[in-house]
Amino acid sequence: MTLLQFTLLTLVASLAAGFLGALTGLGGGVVLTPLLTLVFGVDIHYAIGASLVAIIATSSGAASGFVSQGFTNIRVGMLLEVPTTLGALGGAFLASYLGAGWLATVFGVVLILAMLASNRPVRPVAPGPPDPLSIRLKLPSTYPTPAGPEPYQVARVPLGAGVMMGAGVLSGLLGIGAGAFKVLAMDQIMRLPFKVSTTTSNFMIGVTAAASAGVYLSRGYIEPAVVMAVLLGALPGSLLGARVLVRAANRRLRLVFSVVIVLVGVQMIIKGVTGGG
Amino acid sequence: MGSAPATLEERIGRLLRAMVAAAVAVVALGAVLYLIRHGAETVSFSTFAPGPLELRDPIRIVAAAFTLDPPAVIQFGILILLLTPVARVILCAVTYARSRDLAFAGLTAAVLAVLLFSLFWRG
Repeated sequence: MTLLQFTLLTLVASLAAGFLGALTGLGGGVVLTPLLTLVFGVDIHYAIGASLVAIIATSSGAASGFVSQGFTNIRVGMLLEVPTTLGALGGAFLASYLGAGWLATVFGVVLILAMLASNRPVRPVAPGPPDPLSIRLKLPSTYPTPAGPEPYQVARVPLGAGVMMGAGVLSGLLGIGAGAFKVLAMDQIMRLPFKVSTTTSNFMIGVTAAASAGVYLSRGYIEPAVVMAVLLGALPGSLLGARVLVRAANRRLRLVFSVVIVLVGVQMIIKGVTGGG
Repeated sequence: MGSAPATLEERIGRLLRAMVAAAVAVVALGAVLYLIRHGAETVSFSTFAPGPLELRDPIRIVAAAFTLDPPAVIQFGILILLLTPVARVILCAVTYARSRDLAFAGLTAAVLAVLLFSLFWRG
């Protein structure tokens, strides 16, 4: 097809992908790459490059203002960025050693895991002792509630940091935000309040993605003709999706989407195993 | 205090959104130029091969972008976008340094080092 046709089709598809990613909270990255590789036949390297760029845009440009105000724990975020960005760097280098087939297979598996991770029933985490290290680093804080600021503690910093490094590796390897795993680490392991975990994760995603973006750029994964359409579609799409998210009754949508994600994940695994890419 | 004061988050947010807007504008400009010149050409992205160096090296990208070479303009916009989280980290580092929180200023500087390494190391 012509560049114009490709651009228009990809732009519209990326708009939908960005919208769905924001609406379901899974992020645009996990939707974009399968869309580009399975539907548009784009090589997975170009797909993860475009997806990573889109993620940086959506996480930096999102109207994070009023929702996250007072919830984001920047200290925790910055501290965890040290292992996370190192992981992302490692993941990006690893990506250039795995072939397209392996990337697709790993992507499919991680996609399904991310869906499971983000669909866990929100059960309250058993209270436990705060990590003395977190006190020394002044990590505990408060979050706003209608009744006033509610204090919280921070637990198991080293374990949380370790899991975050893993999330970083996934982010750099697959060009995704890995938000589902970051939230998991902060919510379940470090016992941060859920809204603090989600907002802090959103804060971190762009920085983590930037750590691998430089490697992607120098390897040539960031192809201008592909990225231009993806970026110009996914960013408005995700801004729209974030707006709708506030109002939509999205439980049934999430169920439908979860099924679709599993199917897509299986497709990616098949594609990878059968040597496509 | 664990959470940053609201004003820090506000300032970071405003700067980031401005940079993203600038990046998107440049990419859009490059996209229009690209389509005008090459829109009717057949393209295929099904096989991966690294592109020319001017589109993969930051310094070369900036140089090529000023000649209004469309893919270079697009990459230049992407570079601005990639610098957005860098700006966020720098702002955080400065804020921690100013409030004499040297441990966290150092941590943030370490993150900055990783980001810059990713962008500029050639191997």
